[in-house]
Amino acid sequence: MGFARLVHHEPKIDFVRARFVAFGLTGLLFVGVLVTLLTRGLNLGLDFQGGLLLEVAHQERIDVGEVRNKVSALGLGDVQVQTSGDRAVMIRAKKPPEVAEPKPGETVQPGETAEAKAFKRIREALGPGYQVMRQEFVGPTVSAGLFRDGMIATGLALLAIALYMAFRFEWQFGLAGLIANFHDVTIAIGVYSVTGLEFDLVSIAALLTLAGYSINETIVIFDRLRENMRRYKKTSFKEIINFSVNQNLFRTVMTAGSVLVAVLPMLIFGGEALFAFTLAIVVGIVVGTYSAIYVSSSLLIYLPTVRKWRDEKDEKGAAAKARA
Amino acid sequence: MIQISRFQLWAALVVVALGLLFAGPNALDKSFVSGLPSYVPHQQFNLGLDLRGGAYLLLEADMKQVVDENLKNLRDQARKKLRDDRVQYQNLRSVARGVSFQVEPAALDKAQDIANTVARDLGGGSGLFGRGSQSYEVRVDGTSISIRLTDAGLALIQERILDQAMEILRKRIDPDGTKEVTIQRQGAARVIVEVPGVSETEEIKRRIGTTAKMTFHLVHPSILSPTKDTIAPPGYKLYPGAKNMGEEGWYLVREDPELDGTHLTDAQQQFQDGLPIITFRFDTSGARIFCKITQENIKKPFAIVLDNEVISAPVIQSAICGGSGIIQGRFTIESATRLALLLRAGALPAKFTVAEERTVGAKLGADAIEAGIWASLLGLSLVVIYMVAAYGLFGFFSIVSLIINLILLAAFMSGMQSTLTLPGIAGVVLSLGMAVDANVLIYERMREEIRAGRTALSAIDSGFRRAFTAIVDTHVTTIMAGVLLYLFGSGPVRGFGVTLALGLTASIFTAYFLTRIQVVYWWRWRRPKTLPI
Repeated sequence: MGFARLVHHEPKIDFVRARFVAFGLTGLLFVGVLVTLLTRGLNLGLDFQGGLLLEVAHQERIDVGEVRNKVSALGLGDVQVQTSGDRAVMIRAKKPPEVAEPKPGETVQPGETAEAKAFKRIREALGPGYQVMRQEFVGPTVSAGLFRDGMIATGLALLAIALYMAFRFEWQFGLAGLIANFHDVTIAIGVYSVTGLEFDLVSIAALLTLAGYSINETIVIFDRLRENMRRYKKTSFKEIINFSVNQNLFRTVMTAGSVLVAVLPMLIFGGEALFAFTLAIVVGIVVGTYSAIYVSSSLLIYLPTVRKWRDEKDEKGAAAKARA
Repeated sequence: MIQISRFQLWAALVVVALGLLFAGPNALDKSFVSGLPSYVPHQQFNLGLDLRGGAYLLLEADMKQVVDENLKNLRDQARKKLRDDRVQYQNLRSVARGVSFQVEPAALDKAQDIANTVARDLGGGSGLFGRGSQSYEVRVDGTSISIRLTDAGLALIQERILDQAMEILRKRIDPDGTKEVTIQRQGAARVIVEVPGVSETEEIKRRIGTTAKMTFHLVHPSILSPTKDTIAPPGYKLYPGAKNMGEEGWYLVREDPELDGTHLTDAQQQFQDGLPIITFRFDTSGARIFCKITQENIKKPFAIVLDNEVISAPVIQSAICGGSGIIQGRFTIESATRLALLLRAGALPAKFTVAEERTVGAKLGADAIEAGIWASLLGLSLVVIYMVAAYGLFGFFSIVSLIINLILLAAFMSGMQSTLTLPGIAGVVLSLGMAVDANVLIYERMREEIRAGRTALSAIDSGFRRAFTAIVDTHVTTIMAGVLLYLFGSGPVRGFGVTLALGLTASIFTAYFLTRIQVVYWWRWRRPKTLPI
């Protein structure tokens, strides 16, 4: 009864032939990402920039302008105030606060730090009726370390994946997979830049989710390539790519569909916290599918020929029969 | 592949049963679980602070100061020892991570012995085979001798400081041990403190204090009420009173402390004549010193200095030689309790600053988890509908596998006592997506085989077999990535790595073995000529 059963035959779309269009598209996307990174940059979050953040909620609707006036009078330097949902505002000071002189009448507790004073002042300036939802402070020594650790972990993970692929397939596959991953992550960073979504540690986890999906997609295609290369030794590599991608097309559509239906409720109802993730997954489905065909597989056309399986003995003589 | 050995079947059933057993406690109430006998698994996985609300603090120790103090001590010891042994030396000075001095060629051997002794004494006892531990190393270069702190010695100092600090922090933040406070080391100079259910950090920070040292000093015999403009005579130092402890004014006290807080073993707030007081107790060596001081200084004030403020300066009423005594003062119950806590917990062995702090209000956490749960359930139901619509009965089989996958993940996480965070949920989503994909791969392969004209049985067989390599490769790569993210990442990245790696480990089992068992047993039962996919 399934709708997918309506199609009884494998599609025969010539993916390889359209590759130059795709290369052009990829080139355009990269230029776009470069331009947006240079002009708009990334909206670096507290994690990577340091500073303090206070999210407060109020019983009634909050007047952002009023909050901004109250807070900017405190002399905390560059302060951003923005709404966060209906009845909450986020107050963020980008630089670590330097509140050296206590105001007259301000009691100073022993061991009270500059950021504690700044938080206290903001809360006092806001007055009663505000409920603290979230309070964060990231010192300058930490923010650099967080970024570095995240990058090292990501880099090692991607490298390990490439090495595993080189071991299970051939080095060309590992290299192509690595480049495809780099491609996907770059485009996703571009999405962060264009949308102005805050880029923080959670975003790195989101990028990793995307990379994970894309790797999955790439390996599924590579697995098919490997199988078909063993079977059809006389067929040209371009044909094998076409053939494999077409064979896999339903699976790609089905998987993308199932992940999409799982993720859409999160995108709509999951709240702000899950938004970045789900968006990354949606972008990952599109970009990952694209790059599995037009980045990693297409690259293999131009890398030194993969010979390993093509010289092996034909174990399954019936293979050609199956194709017919 | 159509063959499923009895062993495989039983192994699968045992795994599922164990999964249910370990995941079970999470569905039950905490108080009920704690009442269960100990042989029943009762661990629940934890929710991260981003989901349950709470405070996270990253404290950074001023290790430079600690090391400088150690090096100053090294210099003083070297100088004292050289003087005591009457060795002529020149140009004794601090150098990078150590001290160096020059001696006459004739005294070189003796000076070298002295340097070795100093290095051994400060190294904290002799190591194996009677050799000094390698904390300090002595080098001779011509007539110049240097004693330097080694990397191992530096690491040892840092480790000791952090261990001590963590113990003290725990005592200060969670004196009753009831709050589920997590305190962990991070790197060479940092400590992570996590307190669930707290929405403000002020109280925690006040408790942590950023105290460098607590010390006990004698007060100047004649200048009892100095002002802030008083010029301190040599050997004395001027300290302000701690206003929040009710101490006004200034104190002139001896620069060198008589005793320090490390000798205190206990301090409690109690009442005497209806007024709050503090009772305290010293350890043996502290008691001996305290006895001597109190004998010699009856009726004189004795100042307790904390964080460069005099928190109290009680007058010594009588000689205290039993090791315990009381402090009377202008205390409120609150200030007496706080002082007792500070005294009891002792001073932190280094100056700690807050390098990072995050609090999530309990409401925000609850909102996040509620939204997350509803969205996940809705997403899961849609996947159920989708899979059944696409693959019919086989779709239903894969849903069964998917649910067991979730149960196994919960079981892994409970057994390992890991923490579920928001990024962790993303890891779950990705691992579930890949688990679904594994089933899709298998079923699409079956369809292909059917299109190629195979029988039902043969299609089932090659569907599983051919999809297997792709499933293994996708899962192994991603599990590897998850493990690396867990090992090298921090915070959210770690949380993501854990659930991803565990979820996919479960997925290899469920998507492949459980789905296969269901499909094969269904086939044996019905012996269909065609497959319903």
